[in-house]
Amino acid sequence: MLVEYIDKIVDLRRGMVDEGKVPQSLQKPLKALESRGNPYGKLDKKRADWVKNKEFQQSCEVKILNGNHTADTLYFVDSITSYDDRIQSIGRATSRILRRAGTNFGILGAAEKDSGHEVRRFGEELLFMALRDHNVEAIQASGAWRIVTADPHAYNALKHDYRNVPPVEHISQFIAREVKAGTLRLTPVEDHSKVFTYHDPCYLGRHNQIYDAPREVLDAIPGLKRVEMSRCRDRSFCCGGGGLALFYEPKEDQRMGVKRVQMAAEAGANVIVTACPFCMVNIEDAIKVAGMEGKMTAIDLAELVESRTDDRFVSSVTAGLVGHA
Amino acid sequence: MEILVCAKRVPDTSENEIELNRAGNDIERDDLVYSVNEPDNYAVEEALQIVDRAGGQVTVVTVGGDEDEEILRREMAMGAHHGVLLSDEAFNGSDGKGIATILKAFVEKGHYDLILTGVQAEDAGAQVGGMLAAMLDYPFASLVNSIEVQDGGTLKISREIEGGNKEMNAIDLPCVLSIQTGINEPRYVGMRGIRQVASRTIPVFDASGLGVSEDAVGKAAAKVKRVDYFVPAAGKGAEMLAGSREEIIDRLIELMKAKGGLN
Repeated sequence: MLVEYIDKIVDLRRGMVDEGKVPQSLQKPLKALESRGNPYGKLDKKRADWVKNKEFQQSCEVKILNGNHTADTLYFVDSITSYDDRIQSIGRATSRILRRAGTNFGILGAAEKDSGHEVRRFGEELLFMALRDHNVEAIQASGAWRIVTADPHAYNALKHDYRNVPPVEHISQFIAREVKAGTLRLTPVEDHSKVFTYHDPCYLGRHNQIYDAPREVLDAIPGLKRVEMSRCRDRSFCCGGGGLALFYEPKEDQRMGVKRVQMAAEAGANVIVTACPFCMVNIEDAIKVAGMEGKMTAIDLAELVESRTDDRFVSSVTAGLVGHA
Repeated sequence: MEILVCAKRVPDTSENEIELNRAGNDIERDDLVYSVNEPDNYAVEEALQIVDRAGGQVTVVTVGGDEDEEILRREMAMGAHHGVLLSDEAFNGSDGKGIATILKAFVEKGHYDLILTGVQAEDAGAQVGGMLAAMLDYPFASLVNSIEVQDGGTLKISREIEGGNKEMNAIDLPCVLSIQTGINEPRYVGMRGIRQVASRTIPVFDASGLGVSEDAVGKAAAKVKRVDYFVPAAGKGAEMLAGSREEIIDRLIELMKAKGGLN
């Protein structure tokens, strides 16, 4: 089936946004995106506060590319990873992985605004354009020649909706390459009762056909047992919470996330690995709703790789780079 | 029907972390984001729906400075036909009565059948609507949560009263109503809408243009003065219930009954 329906639905939404027909629960996040650059209404100057975790800061320097520092690689964090307490852990894991692979990287900090991925798909085109134009300027000013992100929504926006920005890579692609090159060395899984399954995030899998890189990374971890859910890869199943759906309470008989967690259990898994902050929020929530706490856990690919690598392997060249930056 | 909606620009409570300043006599205003006082959006939406049914025009007015123009444009992007700014240095520091005095002078320059305000300003005390009505000698109803236009210059309105009950009233026009949130679902104002009204002219009236005596408004005339702000001391913390799910539920029901939350 090659029926492309998303563009049509987005067009319909654009019409509704122009007529002011927007659910009340979504008006506040949209207004906050306009005035603060994030849907939570949090202060823009606190966007990089996730790096200020004391234990993290001592072991992993994250440069803010605000003119005082330069770097080869820009880590584009996006809003959910910048502000959500739980998801900030994915940001710290991603930074540690970049450092352990010897990457000279930095973030935009307060100069970053939401990628606008959800805003565009919601149909608020002019707000998307304002966010995009701001980010393109900030990215160009950073001087970085490549972008890495751990958020498939940001990845999709930077890759397809932005122009005149450096090439972008999802962290799963970065890890797969560095593991093959031997720069990142993965330590064995200690707990042999764990059975892992990989959940394909929509904007990594079906929209960008990145199915193999995350699986290659999992299979490169010594001793890791992995099973596939019956619905996977291009037949995968949405977690139910893409984009602004996080701020909207849909009326549904069954949450998609719960169904997905049940699919993982049917496959014989007790750990769901995903590679998207939105999937993480929904799947962790769904595990609770399904009453499967203690029986099923969820982990982001970056968090898993962070736990299976350590700072010992940071080469002296890398340490020098970080130290003099 | 000619409708006037009085609106205000306030710090947006959903997008700010409100903190006291060091002196403790005001909030820290440096990083604040301002927007339309949320209840005023409901008043504008209601006005727009009334003119959709009964014809007429909606004018939105605010008292303030150049920076307050943005909220007038936002309401014009919603569909209001006119925005008017009442601005004069003499107005600075006015209390509720001072603001009502300024608005009264503006109302008397035109012919409005109906005047709406939001139920309250998020940074103040729901006082201007009532005072404005008294000064104009118009009837007033607060907490209005439905409006029906009747024949013969009256409105049928309901007011929210204790316990979620409604009180139905007939009220003669012209009148002043303060609009309760939830009366409608205010439409969204997108970037396109704001751009479309960006170049519209917004008339500005000062004290002499309105015929307001400078002695009657501003800081000197204010009889209500803010003397302090403080963060209330934290009360006793939450009580965590322990035990099995059934025990917790039993204990919770017991507590709710004891505190009058369940009958």
